[in-house]
Amino acid sequence: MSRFQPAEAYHATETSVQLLPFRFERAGSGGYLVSNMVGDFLRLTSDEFNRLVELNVAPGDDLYERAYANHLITRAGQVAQHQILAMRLRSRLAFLREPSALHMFVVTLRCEHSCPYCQVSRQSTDRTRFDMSEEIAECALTIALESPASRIKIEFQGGEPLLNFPLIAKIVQGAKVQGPKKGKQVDFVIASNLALLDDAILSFCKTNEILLSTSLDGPEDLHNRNRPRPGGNSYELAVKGIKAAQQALGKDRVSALMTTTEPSLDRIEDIIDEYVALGLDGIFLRPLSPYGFAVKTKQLQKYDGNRWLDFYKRGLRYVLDINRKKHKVHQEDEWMNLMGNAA
Amino acid sequence: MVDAITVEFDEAVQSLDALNAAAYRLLDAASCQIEKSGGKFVCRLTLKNSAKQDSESIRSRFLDCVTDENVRERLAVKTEPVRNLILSLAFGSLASQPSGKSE
Repeated sequence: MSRFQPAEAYHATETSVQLLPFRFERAGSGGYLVSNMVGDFLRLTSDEFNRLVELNVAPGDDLYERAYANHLITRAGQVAQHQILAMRLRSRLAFLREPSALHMFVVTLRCEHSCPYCQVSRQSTDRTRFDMSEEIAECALTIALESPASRIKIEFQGGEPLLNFPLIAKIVQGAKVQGPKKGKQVDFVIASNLALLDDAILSFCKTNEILLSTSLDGPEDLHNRNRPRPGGNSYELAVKGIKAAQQALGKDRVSALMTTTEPSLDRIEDIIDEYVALGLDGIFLRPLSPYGFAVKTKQLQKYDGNRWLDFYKRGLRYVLDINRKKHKVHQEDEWMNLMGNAA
Repeated sequence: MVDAITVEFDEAVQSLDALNAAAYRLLDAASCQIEKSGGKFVCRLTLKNSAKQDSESIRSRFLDCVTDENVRERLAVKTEPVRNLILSLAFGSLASQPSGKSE
């Protein structure tokens, strides 16, 4: 006598197969991309898709198993799948329970750079009337601390926020005093081109655990072309600032992102090499934003979505190659990350 | 080149919501005006200059979009009870908690 039941005994019971909610899109030549309630997806041929919709599936036909494993179908009376989907949905949307965690403080619209792709309506540096006032800063901080989130992030933006560093210092000190009283943990980020970074600012950042986020568009010629400033030394100052911040605050306390202009498109490898050489372990490939000067100077029209996607794919391939080689040669755990909105 | 196409649907078997959704998906290639006339929905597709496809391809794409939207409607109706069940399992317990409180 066999120790096990025949295979048929382990097939699903006779209860009827039912559809679970899913989304679909046609994908390429006759195929479909189908995703369940929590975003898992699989590709189906037209025939498979039609069979799924009509529930013309049965245990053992492969499609049934794939659809079941991807939570596209269930069986009457089956509760485990409902619970799994509910649990995953709850986790996936957990961020909604901690709303409005990020607060941007545009402390000045002034900037000493004149980047043609700038998404902000920057003003020249001599116009102090474009600085945020202390009164507004106090109101903004009060509003930020009223957020229901237990941990909030205050990000200082511009213009170039370091042009109004005294106000940044006041806001940070105010948040440090008021935050704990309201049960809030507050993180800080300064988004800066680092051209005005000095030891006093670095020391303040270290004391207050402030992260720095900067822009690095690639090698010197490309960066300076994209990011003009008096003296034409944006790259030199950005690199100097990144190195100083890495040394003073730690390598993980400064990050950079790049903006893709038309001249960047053929140079993804050079751009990524620049990040690797500076010890930056992540790169955010960013297309032009359709705001501000990027529109006025017609930068946006210089490349289309397809060219951007090609650029992104080449970048992804290059990052994977770097990681593969690094892992092979050094067995290191430090991986280069690629972020970016490919859409 | 033909710059307008007319496609008709029987009002008795075709939902207007699905036609509207299909028209929206075709926005990059054609603008669609939908009118009711004699028991039919008449869809007038005006091709855009930027459209890279010919009129037959756009008609065919529109029909595919309508077909897909019809399937989406059917799926939504069929799966609504289980969808509500899953949503209630996921978030039902939050309803009794005071707002603004995390778990």
